Amino acid sequence: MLTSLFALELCVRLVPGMPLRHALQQLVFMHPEHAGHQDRHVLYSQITDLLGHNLNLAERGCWEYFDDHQRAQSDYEMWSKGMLTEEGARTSPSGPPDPYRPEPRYLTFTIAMLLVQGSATDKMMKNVCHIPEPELWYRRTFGRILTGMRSISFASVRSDILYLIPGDEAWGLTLEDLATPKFEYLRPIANA
Amino acid sequence: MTAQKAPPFKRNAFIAKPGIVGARWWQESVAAPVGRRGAMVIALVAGAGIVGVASVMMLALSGPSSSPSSDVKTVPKGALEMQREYGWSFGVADEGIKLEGASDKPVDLATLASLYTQLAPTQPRHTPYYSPTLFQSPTALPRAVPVEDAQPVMPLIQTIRPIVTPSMREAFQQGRSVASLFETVGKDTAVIVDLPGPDAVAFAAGASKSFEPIFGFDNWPHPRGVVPAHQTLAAALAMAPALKSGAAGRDKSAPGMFVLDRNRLAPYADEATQFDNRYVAKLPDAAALKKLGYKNVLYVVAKDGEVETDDLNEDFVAYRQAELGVRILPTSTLTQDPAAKPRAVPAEARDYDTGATYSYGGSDATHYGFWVHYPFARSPRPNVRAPNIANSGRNYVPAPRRTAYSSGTTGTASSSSARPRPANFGLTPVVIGVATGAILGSRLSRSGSWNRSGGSAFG
Repeated sequence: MLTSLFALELCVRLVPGMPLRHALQQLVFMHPEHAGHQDRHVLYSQITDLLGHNLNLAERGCWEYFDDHQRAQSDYEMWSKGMLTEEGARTSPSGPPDPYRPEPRYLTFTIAMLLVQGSATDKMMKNVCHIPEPELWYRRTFGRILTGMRSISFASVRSDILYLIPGDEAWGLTLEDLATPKFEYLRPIANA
Repeated sequence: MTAQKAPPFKRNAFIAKPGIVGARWWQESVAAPVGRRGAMVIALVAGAGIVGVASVMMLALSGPSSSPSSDVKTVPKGALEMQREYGWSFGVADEGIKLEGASDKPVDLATLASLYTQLAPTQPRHTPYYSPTLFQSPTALPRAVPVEDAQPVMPLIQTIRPIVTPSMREAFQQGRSVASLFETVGKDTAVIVDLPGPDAVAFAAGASKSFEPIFGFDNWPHPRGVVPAHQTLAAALAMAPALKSGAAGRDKSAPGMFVLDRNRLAPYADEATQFDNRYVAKLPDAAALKKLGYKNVLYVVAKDGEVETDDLNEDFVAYRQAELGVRILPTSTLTQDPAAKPRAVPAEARDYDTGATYSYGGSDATHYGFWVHYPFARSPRPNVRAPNIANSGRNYVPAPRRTAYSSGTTGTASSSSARPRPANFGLTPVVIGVATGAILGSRLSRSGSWNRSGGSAFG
């Protein structure tokens, strides 16, 4: 069976008192080990709602879709490794976001999916991700993709991965972290 | 006892550390997309049980089958139920709505999102008759995705804008006119407004200083809906400030105004291209109206000669039999008084309030003549003269008639909530997989083979 890949990652500024990080953490943590299609749909509806409502605080991001099976498999493996090897995670706390200190803190949230190639969901996501070149990094493009994700039928999802950095409020990413090569794939999001 | 099937997704990786929290899920059995021929093969194998594998493969490789069996079938399902489940634009998620008279003012999203609570009646006696359905649609999101129709659904809240049309402006003034008549008298009269949706909303807003609106819009908009409920919703958004202002100045025990959309029974003919978002009105029965403290019913329509809609005939006959006073008031009897000085109108209300004064019979001299024609109460102004205008509604007597909504028990009181309706009313054809029973999508979204009621399946 052939697959396509869809992935999206957002880097969102952590604002003190903002419930986003905790809410995303709880959604991932509490999702059952065995889940039905409807459970997955509800989970993703909640995630895309949260990300959509906080999109104004997203400063960087990336997304991709392609229907080359070989590349889908290898890239999905790469996204999985990003979680399993804790590649982007800090190894020590950076301190919680502080309104009186200028140094910002960030979270990243990553979603990657292997879709059944040729399924209605795959075609739908291909269409959603059909974005003109100048608009690839527009905020509204990310909004469009998040909205499109609400229509994914999990009957056509082979596998998906979700991960949040940090797991603890005090381990947020710093600007220095984001400047390292391992985060250079995240592009600044344009306000349009 | 059948063993419960395990959920399809299994988590095969999990991490929870201060630096990162994440998980990966895997679905072992995923159906590859099949063409029509393949789907028919699956159905044959599943259904027949005696077809050998070789035969099935030959069938799959050969041309279209001559077997009449189909892998999908079409069944009617409740239109509103499908919209609640799969989205307001079920079947045509790539189509939008067209608003006539849309304002270019910024949309107050907070108001739109909370219309269903803002516009709810506050008097407990009226609450059971309030239908928040239409006002809940802006923020409603799909709960599931049809298997073969995964289209992103644009939330309605992102497409609705307020509208104010010339006919709404007139209806607003006519509502004000009726409110002025009932300012101090007639508290035991329930008003039922049955105008095209936007006009009904505007009328109710104009009358809201004297009457508590009880909205009965029991459907959702749909891009192909025969009932233009999107216009009614947009009108409600535009009139929300006026309704709020009316509520603030209204007596806490003001009589109720049941607000209906006369277009709710719009003609519906083609299930392939139209969406049946019709519904029947639900009103209190005669006993309930009396218990609510009402002795009279004033039914507001647009033109002289109009009577109650078919779905209300049995109610009105029952009201008469229960000795409730029932009369019809055409809004065509409420016309602008040319002699009246324009009223000062706050800037924020000028969209819908022109400052004109409308009177029964078109003049202040005849306005309170309303009570001569509609003797529900004594006129607060003495020695009024009734206007000489075309108004058959003032002498109207409800009479039973056979309609598609008749219960077959004309002459006896029965409840609106049990009102029968025509066959295929408020339904939408839905395509389901024969083998799985899963809803694949709306027939609206498909052309070609799904529009055939039966027949062969091929890719």
